[in-house]
Amino acid sequence: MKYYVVGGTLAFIGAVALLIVMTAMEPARMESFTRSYESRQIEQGALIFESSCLPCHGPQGGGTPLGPPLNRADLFNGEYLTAIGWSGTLGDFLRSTISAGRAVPTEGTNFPQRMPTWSENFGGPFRPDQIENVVAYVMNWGERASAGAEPTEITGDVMMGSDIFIELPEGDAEVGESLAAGELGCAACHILSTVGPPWEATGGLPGMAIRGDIRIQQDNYGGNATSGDEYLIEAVVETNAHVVEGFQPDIMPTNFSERITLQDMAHLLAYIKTFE
Amino acid sequence: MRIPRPKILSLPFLDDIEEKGVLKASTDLADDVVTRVTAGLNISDVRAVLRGDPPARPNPRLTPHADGFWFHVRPGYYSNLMDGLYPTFRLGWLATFFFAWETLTGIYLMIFYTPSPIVAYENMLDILSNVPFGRWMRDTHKLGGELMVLVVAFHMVRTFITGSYKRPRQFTWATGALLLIFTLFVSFFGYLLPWDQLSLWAVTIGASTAEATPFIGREADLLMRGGPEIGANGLLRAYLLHVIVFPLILIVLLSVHYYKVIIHGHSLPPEAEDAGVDTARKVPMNVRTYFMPKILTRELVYVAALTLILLAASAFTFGYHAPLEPHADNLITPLHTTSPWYFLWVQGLMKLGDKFIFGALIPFGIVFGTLVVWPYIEVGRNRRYGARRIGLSIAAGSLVLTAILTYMGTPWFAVETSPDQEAVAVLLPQTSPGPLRLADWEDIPFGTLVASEWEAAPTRTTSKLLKLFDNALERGREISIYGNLEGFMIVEDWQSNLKKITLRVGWDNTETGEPAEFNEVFFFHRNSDYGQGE
Repeated sequence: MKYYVVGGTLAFIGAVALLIVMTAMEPARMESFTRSYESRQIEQGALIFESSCLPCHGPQGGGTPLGPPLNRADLFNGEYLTAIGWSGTLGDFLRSTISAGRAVPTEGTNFPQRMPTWSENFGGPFRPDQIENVVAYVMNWGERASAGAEPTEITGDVMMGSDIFIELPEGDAEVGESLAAGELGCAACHILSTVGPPWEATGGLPGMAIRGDIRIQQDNYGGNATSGDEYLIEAVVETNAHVVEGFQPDIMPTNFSERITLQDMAHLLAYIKTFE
Repeated sequence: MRIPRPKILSLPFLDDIEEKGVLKASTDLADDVVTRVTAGLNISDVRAVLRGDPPARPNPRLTPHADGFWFHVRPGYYSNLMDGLYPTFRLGWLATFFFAWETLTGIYLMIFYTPSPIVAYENMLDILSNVPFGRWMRDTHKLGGELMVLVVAFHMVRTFITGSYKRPRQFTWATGALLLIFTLFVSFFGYLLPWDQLSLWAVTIGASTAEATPFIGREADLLMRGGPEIGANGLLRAYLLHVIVFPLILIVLLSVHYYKVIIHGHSLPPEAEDAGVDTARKVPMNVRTYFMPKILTRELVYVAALTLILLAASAFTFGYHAPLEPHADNLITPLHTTSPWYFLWVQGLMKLGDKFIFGALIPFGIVFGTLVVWPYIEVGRNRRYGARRIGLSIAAGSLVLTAILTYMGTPWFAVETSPDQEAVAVLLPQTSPGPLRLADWEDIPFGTLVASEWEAAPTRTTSKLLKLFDNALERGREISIYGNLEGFMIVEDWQSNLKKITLRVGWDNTETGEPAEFNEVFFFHRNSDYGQGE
């Protein structure tokens, strides 16, 4: 009985002492687990990146023609966030972009697809914790990207803009034809109907290939083109510079300067020049 | 005639002071309070208990057992024969201790837990990284739960061996058997709550047996899982079963169980009484050990000692830690998924054939059913070991069978997977950290390493890992279809502090003549520190 009481008292004192030791150790333990958990997020994020992000953003985030590089310095030094007018943190930007995708491309880029939505909250496949893992993985490029690693150039095509005197690359009329019929949608108004001036030669007017040369000679011409080609480019990217008689302004979409790339403009021009 | 002075405030205590003086009135009041709280013992009685003085006659220490709630469920005295560890080993008491332990630690965990798939796993991480004593509470709750299952099972085995279930204790046994079954259930549904891969798949395996119930299988399965697969509804149901429904059932059964012990007394060791006679109720005065102070003191000592042991078991990085696997994912079934260990025997049974017969009818119908009604089947009154050869043989046989079936429930029995995947899983298991995750990050250099050349590996860590890898490939090398089977470990510098480790098994398929390979990628971060109790 005596031994029981002594043993029990010692056990009680031991338990209290152990509790005090644990209390002292708890902050360090919690911190240690937090660090290891954050590291495991990066591991898990890397796995998700391999299967879902790599096809567009490239192995190790180096970028491909389908998607911009992510291991570049300007993403981590704030330049990029300033350029796009993002007021939150980089983590927030990544979280938002990965979760909800991008509705419009970044100015000056023309990747063929927008960033899709990845969070299950936005119709994507991933749970919120998986999104966090990918964010952690992308953030982990920061150290190397900021430490002066060679930033990868943003690839993807250059946009046309509204400069009608710009030098165009070689164009391919066949590619232009498919652009006009498909992605750019010119054919709907200019070939298949007469919503806009027809490209074919009709009613005494020559085909669109020659019409530019005639227009710039006319007295009521209000644009800046000095050649037939420039006139045609102007008609695409500065739609309202000269509105042809019998048509209203703004019927032709006015945002082609932002939608069409330099190369596509060249293809389109080559195609239009086949309408003699 | 004196007219009593009208009183503004009528307090008996004030009258007492007037009558006896402040000191005497106060001690009398204290005595009164203590007597009320202890249901019968005044201060000097309590003092005598604490000092270990012999009781007065009549023994005032029996009053709380008659008048108080908490003591009335404990006997006022034990037979001296029941005083030592044998024959009970205090297992019933221990089971109750763990029930209380689980309740207390469970309430602490409930503060930081929300039963929703959206946040449940995050709550686990929060408990581990942000809640003081969170890891210890989780570990000890898990450890206590598993020990409770063990203790309850041992308690039943002990009761069987000493024949204590025999008349008049048949009903006590029946409630005890139900307590075991519900202990298994309460523990089983607790498994799901962390919402990691381990919990999801262990419970999925268990729940799939519900589907085998005749006629209402589909409905029972849907009702339990809350949908075709375990999701938000299933988690909430498991949570409610774990924290309310089963604990309430356990409390009711426990109360009946305890009360029956008071009614029938502690069953004496079988050899202590005449064959077929039960004398537990009639403990002669000279062989009584009174609950107060001896038994009570011991139990308090046990509580202190067990608390110390359970504290120490999970206080530090070494020791027991509850596992936490990656987030639950209904689309990814980890290799070597098993049900909780105490249901492995059911999983073993299910490998034998029909899901209904082996997964539902035999374990939950026949085994559990027989357990509950056993004392009404085996009605012989003689508790002597010699007179119960058949019953004891059946019990021993059942234990051996359970052990064999438990083994059969593990992945080592009759689970066929390809040797290439198995070999990778040796280094990178999907249900535990395993040797690669626990390896020294610094000691794994970049480059391509070949498993069979483990002796020439550049570092000790890689040599050890490759040797394991190579040994694991041996099984595949014995299969003729795997020609030139070889393992590779490719380590690349991937990001700051992040290595990409590809485990590749390559071979020539001798049937088609085509080369084939199996790859598994593991990204390894410098600070991921596996094995610190997650």
